[in-house]
Amino acid sequence: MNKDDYILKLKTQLRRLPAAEQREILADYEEHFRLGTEDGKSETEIAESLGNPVQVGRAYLIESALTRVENREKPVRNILRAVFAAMSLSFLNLIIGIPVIASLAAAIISLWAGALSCVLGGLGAIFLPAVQIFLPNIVSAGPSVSLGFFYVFGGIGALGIGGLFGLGMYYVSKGFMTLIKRYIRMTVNIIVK
Amino acid sequence: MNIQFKKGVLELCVLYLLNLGEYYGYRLVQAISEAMSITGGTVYPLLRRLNKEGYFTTYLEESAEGPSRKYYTLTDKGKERLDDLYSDWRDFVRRVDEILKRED
Repeated sequence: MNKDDYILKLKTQLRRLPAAEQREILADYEEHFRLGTEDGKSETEIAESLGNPVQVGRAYLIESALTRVENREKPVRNILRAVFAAMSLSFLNLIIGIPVIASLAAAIISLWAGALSCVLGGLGAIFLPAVQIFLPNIVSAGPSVSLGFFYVFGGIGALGIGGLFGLGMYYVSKGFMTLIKRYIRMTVNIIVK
Repeated sequence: MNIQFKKGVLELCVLYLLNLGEYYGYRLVQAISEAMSITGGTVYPLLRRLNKEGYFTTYLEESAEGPSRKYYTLTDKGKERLDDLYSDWRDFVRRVDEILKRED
């Protein structure tokens, strides 16, 4: 593979990145080829010592996506980008890592749903007696006054529990994102000769 | 050399070399890839990531005869990181050696 082939293959992987980022990345490789040639090496030798340009490109894609997650830029979309790029880098990721991550994600989503229904149920319970008192035509059969208080306090309790649950889930989700990032970085770190 | 060992120490080696002197990309890649049997395509992304973390500053040195070169200089933050990784490594080696010295 000569220099132009190599740079082209690398550039193809990077094509979705912002132009400035692409330029910066490719500049390193242009420089490397120039200095290697000056050193007496052939372009083929240099290309081989750099390693597979497709893999190298994917490493940059992953790192770029992960950085954007850290900067809170469209975190979900970028985590998915990083995951897919990592998938195409390593067969092991495909077979083992991705299904594991997917099931954990599903578990987290259902826990969020639980927190949400707790909150909604709580709100419903709080407002139901109020609706009955002020609009008796809309809700006909309903609790007596004492039971009404029970509804309200129960509702407040459910709201509180749902809120705490939601807060907990927020931190769990953050931790989960961090775990995914760490896992992906671990698998990218090295491309061996 | 075991891949798992390499993964762990790459950052340490890069930071250590940059602390020793002025390196431009090509020279750094040469120094490390020979010693660790890794590709330049592993080193450059690592350099980019570490640069973003604020461990280096870079400057371009124009050359009359040849191509310009991008030099990397360690920042204070980079030096701190080097110290941390270095002491982690020393500690790790010491502990492993303790075990490997045992005869029972």
